Amino acid sequence: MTESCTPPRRGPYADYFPNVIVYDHEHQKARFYDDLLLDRMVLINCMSVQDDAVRPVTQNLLQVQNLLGHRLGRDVFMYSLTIDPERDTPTVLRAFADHHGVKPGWQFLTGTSEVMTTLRDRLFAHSGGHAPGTNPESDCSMGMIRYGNESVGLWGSVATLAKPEQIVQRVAWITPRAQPEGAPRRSGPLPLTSENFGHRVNA
Amino acid sequence: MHRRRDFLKIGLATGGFSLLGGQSAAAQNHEEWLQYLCPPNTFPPDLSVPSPPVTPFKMPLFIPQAKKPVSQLSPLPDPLSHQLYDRYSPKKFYLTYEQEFLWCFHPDPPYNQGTWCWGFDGSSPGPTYIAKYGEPILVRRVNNLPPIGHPDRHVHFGLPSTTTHLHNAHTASESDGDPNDWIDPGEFWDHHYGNFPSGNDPLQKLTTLWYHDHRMDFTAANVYAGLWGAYLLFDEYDTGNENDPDPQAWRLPSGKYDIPLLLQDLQFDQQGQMVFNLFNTDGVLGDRFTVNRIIQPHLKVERRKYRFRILNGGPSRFYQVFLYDGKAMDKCRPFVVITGDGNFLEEPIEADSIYLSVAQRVDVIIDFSQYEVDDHVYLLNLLEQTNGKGPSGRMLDPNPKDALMRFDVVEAQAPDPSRIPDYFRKLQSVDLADVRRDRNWTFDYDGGLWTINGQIMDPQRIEAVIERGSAEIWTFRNSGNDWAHPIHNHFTEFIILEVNGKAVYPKQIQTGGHTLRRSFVEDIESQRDHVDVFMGGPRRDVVSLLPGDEIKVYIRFSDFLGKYVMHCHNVVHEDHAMMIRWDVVPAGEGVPNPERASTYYKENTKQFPDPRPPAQPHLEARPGTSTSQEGQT
Ligand SMILES: [Cu+2]
Repeated sequence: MTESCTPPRRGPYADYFPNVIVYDHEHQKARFYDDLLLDRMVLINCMSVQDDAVRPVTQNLLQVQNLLGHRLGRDVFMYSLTIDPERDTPTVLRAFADHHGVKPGWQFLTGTSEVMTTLRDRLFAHSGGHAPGTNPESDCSMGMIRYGNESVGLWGSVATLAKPEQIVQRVAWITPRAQPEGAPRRSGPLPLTSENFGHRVNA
Repeated sequence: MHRRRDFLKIGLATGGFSLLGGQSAAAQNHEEWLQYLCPPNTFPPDLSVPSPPVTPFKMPLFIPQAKKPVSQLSPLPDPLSHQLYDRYSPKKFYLTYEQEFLWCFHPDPPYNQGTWCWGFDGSSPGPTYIAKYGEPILVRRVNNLPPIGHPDRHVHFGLPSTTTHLHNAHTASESDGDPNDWIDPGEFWDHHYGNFPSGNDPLQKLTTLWYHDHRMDFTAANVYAGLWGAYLLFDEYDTGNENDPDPQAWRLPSGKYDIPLLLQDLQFDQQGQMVFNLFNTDGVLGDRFTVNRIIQPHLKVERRKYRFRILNGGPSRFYQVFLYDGKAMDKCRPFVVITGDGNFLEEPIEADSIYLSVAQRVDVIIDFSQYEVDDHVYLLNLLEQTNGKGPSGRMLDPNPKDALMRFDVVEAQAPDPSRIPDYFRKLQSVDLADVRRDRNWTFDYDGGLWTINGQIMDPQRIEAVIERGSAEIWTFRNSGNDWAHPIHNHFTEFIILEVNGKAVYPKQIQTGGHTLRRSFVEDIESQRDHVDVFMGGPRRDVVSLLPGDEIKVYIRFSDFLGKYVMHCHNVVHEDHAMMIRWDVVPAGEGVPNPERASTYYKENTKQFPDPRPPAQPHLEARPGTSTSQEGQT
């Protein structure tokens, strides 16, 4: 009885995200907030199978997948939300994922059109009145990846078509780390030596 | 959790149950739906739950302490890590710590319980640096913020990885606080400030600068958290001594009569903690106005002259401020404006109001001897802004309760020895013969991100390869028709040549609606020029690109080599990713087109002091014992 009173774990943006039901390309059902966001680092983008032909976002994210290596599916997860749930059923997304060689830890998510619109609005809409467009070239939900660590409340954005290395380095930025010990260490600047093209302006 | 409760209340009140309408598989489980109902169209905007109210003008203004130097640093700074270190060897050393702490924004509950903040040395804004031309300094900044995952980390929206930029300073690349020169908890960075004017040209001296965090992707959040402060530069004219017997000294109000007023608008939750929406990419506004991080403070002022250094600390709001006596707007006394952005105007001018886009500064003189003892004078913002787009175009009705702060006039303790000179210094020369290149920068929006020339910030792409010693003409063009972008360039100030096709002449200033004029309506009581709105002088580090604007400037690049940035100073736009990298390279080694840094520095055996070549990305957090930045880029 008392156990059931323990509140579920919540991150700082628990009220911001709808905890709606989505399905992945393996037909697995999940609650978006509780099952997919908490206790993990995530990279979230919007896509559709049709639009991906115009704006090849998935191709770029495949390199991100490869760079993530063993951390994909361990503590880092990638989610691609379809904005076209009518066409992009789990079966269609499964074929799309298989075709691209998507590995475990990267899920293509679909749901009812209400659910997918809700998610897109919450993750990618703008307070100043940019409605998400319909043109994949300009749709704000397709230009941007939200990266986040909801357990600690850190969220940022990076372009979907940024260099894969630059997308991946964001994961390190939001990864928990230990309290440093000992005296502060010098981070920079580093010596301007002749190996740095020899330009010793202060010589 | 109050936020969820408040949200549900609003959701229910407006009856947005659209999620229940669909005959979906998920909707069959109504229990699940009801538990987590989140109607999309009724999600409240950022400011729909107001911050807890306060009694205005209850708390005195906080005035940050002057930063004190230390006798030495351990380990010692490395002279080989800094350009021009020997020529400008530091005369003073400073040690400062970035920390998380409880800050009192106001004595009313819930604010009296303290608000978790970031700042320097337990202060937000951080301590004020008092610097002098001809006296180089070195500031060691240590990151003592709680690391990600630390159980006592409270400011969750800030990234505890920082880089401090000295806004408007003429600084070597490695000391500029580049967005990618960050320090993590337990690390420090040495910033060397030569305190000499660009090109050693005395006409290019500066006066009011500020330091603030510039972390890639997280500048807005980290500055909002509190990582900023003032940096003041003095010289043999502006000596910081109103009693200076030296005949060349300007004797502006000094000491306790010279006060920075740093403006920031913030939002708080019902526990009095700061709210910052990391998902808002347009611009973050607050509904509580702070001056030096106190909500609507008061300041007792003597019946004499004061120098105030007013700075718009953003993150996204524009201001137009007036001096209101609480009775009639047409009785507002003018400010005596002496600087625009970070530099002295040729002559002081009087302005009924001051327009400040994000990051802009003015130094003003207010002479309270024109008021009576017990008078209340309000610093009032009347520019309406309701979202990140910029000002709405409407003006607010004046209401003293909404003022940014209140001045309470008391009798002067002693005669006022301060003066306002009739003339400060000449505008630097514009020599078009030195112009090597013209460049156009178009500011726009694409795919959810903010763009410059269609590109988003890529730290490895050099958008402009600029030759040291040369000058360039840059044209900033706003292609959005309802967005305002305050554009800031690092390293050196520029001279405005044209605004929307109209030439700007040396003594002209920007006034309301971008009218360029030097008004000849002389104030009855003085010989000074008088304008209704002051929008900045001819020399700047920020241009206010209002919708549709096109502004042409002249910039000269002297002294240092290396990478710098130009960006929108609506810092939410900057983080999403309205910023470019440009590099200064030796004379003769410039190229006309953008280049990847790796290509440029490889193909030209160019000499460049960038100590951090592009490295492989790394995934793991660096071990606590790491001693270098290797692999961090
Ligand atoms: Cu902007």
